[in-house]
Amino acid sequence: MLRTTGILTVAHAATPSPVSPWRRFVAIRERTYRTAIGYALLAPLALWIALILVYPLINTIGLSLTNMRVVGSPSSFVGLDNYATVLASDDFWHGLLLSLLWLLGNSIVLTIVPFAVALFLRQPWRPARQARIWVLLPWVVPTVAVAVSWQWMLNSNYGVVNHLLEATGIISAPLNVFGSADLSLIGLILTNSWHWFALPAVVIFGAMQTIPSDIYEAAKVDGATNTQTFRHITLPMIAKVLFALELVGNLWTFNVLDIIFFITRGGPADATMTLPMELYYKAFKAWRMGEAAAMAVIVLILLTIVCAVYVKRFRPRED
Amino acid sequence: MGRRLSVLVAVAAVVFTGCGTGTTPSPTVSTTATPSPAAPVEIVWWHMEQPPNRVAAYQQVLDDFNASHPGIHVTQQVQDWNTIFSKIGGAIGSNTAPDILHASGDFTPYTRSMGENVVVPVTDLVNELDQLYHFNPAATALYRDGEMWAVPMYGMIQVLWYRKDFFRDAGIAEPPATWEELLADAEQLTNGDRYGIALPAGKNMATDQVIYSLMATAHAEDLYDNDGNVTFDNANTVRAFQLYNDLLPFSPPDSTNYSWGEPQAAFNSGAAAMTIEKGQYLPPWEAESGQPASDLGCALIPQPAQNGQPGSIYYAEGMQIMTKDPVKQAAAAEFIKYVMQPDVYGVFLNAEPGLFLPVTEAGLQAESWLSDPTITKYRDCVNLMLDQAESGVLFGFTHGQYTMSIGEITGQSIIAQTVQKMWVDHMTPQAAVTWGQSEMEAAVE
Repeated sequence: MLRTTGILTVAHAATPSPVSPWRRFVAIRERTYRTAIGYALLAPLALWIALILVYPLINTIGLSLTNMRVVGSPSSFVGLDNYATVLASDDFWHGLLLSLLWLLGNSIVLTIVPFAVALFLRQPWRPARQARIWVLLPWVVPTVAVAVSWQWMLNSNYGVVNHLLEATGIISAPLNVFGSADLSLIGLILTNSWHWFALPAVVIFGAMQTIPSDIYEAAKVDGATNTQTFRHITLPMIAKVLFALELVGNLWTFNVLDIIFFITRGGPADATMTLPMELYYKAFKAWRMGEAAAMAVIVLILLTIVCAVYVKRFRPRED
Repeated sequence: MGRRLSVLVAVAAVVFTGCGTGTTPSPTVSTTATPSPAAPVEIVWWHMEQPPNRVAAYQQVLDDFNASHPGIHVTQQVQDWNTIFSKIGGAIGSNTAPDILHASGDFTPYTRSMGENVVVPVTDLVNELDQLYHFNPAATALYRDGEMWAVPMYGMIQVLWYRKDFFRDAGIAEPPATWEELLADAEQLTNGDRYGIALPAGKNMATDQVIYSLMATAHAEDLYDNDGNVTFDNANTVRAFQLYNDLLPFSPPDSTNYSWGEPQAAFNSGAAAMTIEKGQYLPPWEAESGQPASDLGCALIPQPAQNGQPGSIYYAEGMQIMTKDPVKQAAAAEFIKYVMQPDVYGVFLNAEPGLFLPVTEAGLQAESWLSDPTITKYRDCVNLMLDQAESGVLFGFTHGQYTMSIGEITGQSIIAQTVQKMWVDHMTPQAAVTWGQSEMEAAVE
């Protein structure tokens, strides 16, 4: 029955029209099809991730439960013996301590320097604008080239750094940076930081550029000092970027092996034998693949816990 | 048909050879089977001689061999010492191991440990070559464990290198012959511009080798007793470490990171007056130092005045056969026999003239080796290295020992780590050696 009043016409239109079983079937079929397509499109990626992430992880855990020496050699199940051996070894704790020092040193340098560089890059001066390009150079240089260059520059016989420091009277005798148990870790931290500072600097610079300029202008009108502006505007506005940068950067830094391997190989006298180096030597020099795998699993668990705590404690609030 | 026949011949040869030795169930490489020229047998040879000049020289040998042996085609594949230990494991596991693999005293026990019959005994082949060319016993000793497990191809020995120009300037007439003279000369030659000696003290094989040469002169060459127990901690080892500790103040301060290249660079650049190394110092001397060939001095490794002996570390690198295919084994043997022929052997050795020394008497007389310009120019030093090779020894293979676990010690550079404990961590030589002993015992457990 048709009603001609406007109100009733509207009410009638708002009432859902009965859907035929056929149309419902078509809708379900379309939805299923879309879902299937979605899974089908995701499947290769999921499979790839399983292949490159899950399989090695399971394989490593499996290895850690065996007494395998050389890769591929016969081995037998030893339960958790390798974990007990690793946790009871001084080498592991020594490596963990050095890794934490390595991480701390790099974190400090790779926070302060990139921030300073990013602030410099924001300046309107011509040198700052040009620096936005060449500041990336250290990051582009291959790690092996960085290692060789710094080895030469810090060489105590003919290194330019020692020569300059001596010529300016800052030191009286050449510093044996990579050959000294006291200086080698510091030298490595500075070399690694020099290699990587450009990446966080550019990321921080990019994040700073997204802050609307009118906020700074308003702060200036309100009489905010530079420090107040930095603390109350810049830092909170880039907090999410910093959070992600610190998380990923620290994970990368902890796992760095190449530059240490190229320069000191963990020496002298194990002064730079961080956990990744210890793990490498255990697997490929001492040929104790089972113990190395156990060490890798322990490191993985440690890093997972640290990451979880970091995310829970330092994740920026959405507001 | 021809290929079937050659397979039969090869199999028959293997069977009869195996019966003849009667000491092992492993098949022994045939020395008689000849692959058919109609169907070239592909042989892959892995070696770790990466410098381009060595690869080029080897390629010349390969090209000549392949041209003169239409039934066999050998190709080289260059590997890296840093990765070969893990790579060969994967290759064996996936049945993609090479037919011929570079052999070294402490590397062959490693490959043998990868499984039963991974490395094929080559006793008959070595015996045949020995009858023809007469191997240096020091070279074959590194591969003899009941059977021969590799064919020695070239030797390398350390000697003392010294700069005659610096010795002249310092008024030192003769190179040091004793430890006491070595220490005194190192001290005298050290001044503001240079160091008396460049010694490696990094955690690496270079350090292992140099201090082992000094240990060998002090009767400390045995790392094991006859029962296989580690005997590193003894008075003779300690006195060798004491000497190293006394010498290191006269070596550049960054010696703690030195491996092979740095002492040579210091020596050639004039930053150091002496060093201990193998024959790779000959070819680049004039170009890198700017000095005439006559200013490069060489001497036997100095030995203690009291209770000393001639000694130096001696490596005899070789070829081990990995293929299980009898036809390929025969082809690989054919290639090795070809290389050992005196007219070819010199070309092979002069891939690195002066560093690679003959391991056969015939090789010593081979014109193909002696005619190389570097060998001609530095003949005195080459002869001295050959003299030094008479007293050459290698850890784990002294006095008839064949120690399967030596790779556990050298792989971790435990001797070098002991040097670092002494020099960097300031342990006494005795305490460091005691530490090294415990590390070695743990390693070979």
